Amino acid sequence: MPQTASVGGAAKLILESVATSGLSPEEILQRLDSYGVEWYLTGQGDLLIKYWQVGAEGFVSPERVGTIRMGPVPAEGNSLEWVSRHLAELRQRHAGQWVAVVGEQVAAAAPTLPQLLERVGELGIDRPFLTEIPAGPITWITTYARPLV
Amino acid sequence: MPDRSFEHTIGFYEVQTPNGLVVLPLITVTLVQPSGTRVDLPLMFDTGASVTTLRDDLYPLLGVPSWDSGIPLQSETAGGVTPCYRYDTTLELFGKAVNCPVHLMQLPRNPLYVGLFGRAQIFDAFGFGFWESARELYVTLTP
Repeated sequence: MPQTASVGGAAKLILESVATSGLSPEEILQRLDSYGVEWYLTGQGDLLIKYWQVGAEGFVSPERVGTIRMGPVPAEGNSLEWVSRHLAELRQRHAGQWVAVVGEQVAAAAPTLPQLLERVGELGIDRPFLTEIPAGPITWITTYARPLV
Repeated sequence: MPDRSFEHTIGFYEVQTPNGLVVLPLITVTLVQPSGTRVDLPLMFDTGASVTTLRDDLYPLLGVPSWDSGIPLQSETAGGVTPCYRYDTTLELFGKAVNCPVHLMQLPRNPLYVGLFGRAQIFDAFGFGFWESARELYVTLTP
């Protein structure tokens, strides 16, 4: 059950607490390792731990927390990321073609989208990432087309 | 200051072009074809886009015979007034399916996006946050 504690005048939520009485010394030390707490066993068998925690409220905006915790988008399984990183190579090998990308490879390619869809169906590819690799110059900035009422 | 929690963060893509570095807010959306099969499409996130707009040659994904067989409309572009055609489809994003209108229109060819991700219906299902300087999009499934 979550508990609260008052630290520096503000109520803090304790997300996890561990009762150590039922744990073996090895298990307790394992827990300390998992929390990143440095510990030392004296020759007499005493446990010393070095631990402090400094809080800095508002260190980053709430919107950035997810990014920092999760790190960058993993390259694995992100076809868009893969295409953006291998664009020069794709332009050399598939210029003027539609490509179906699965994970980090081109699973099928064809001159037109209908032909590519047929090939994708034949190969039984599930949920491919589709795009065209233009043969000519690429327009990088597109202004939105606002519908006229 | 309003506060909202976002479960997803989408980083912008940096692409080195002959004219310098371009930063693009790109998002991968799943389109459900009339047959039920799904394909993933890269779209550019554009807060100014009211309706999701796809390249004209994507019409086979909508199960229509040609790109100009839908409801005819006109769009204002940098190059003048351009025809577009309206259809209805199902898009999936972060596991949520949204029935929404899409426009087919002749757009420039780009390997990293095949259309523009618009607001219609989709902004009702998601909450989006964007701060230009952060170069990230923030998405919540519980707006």
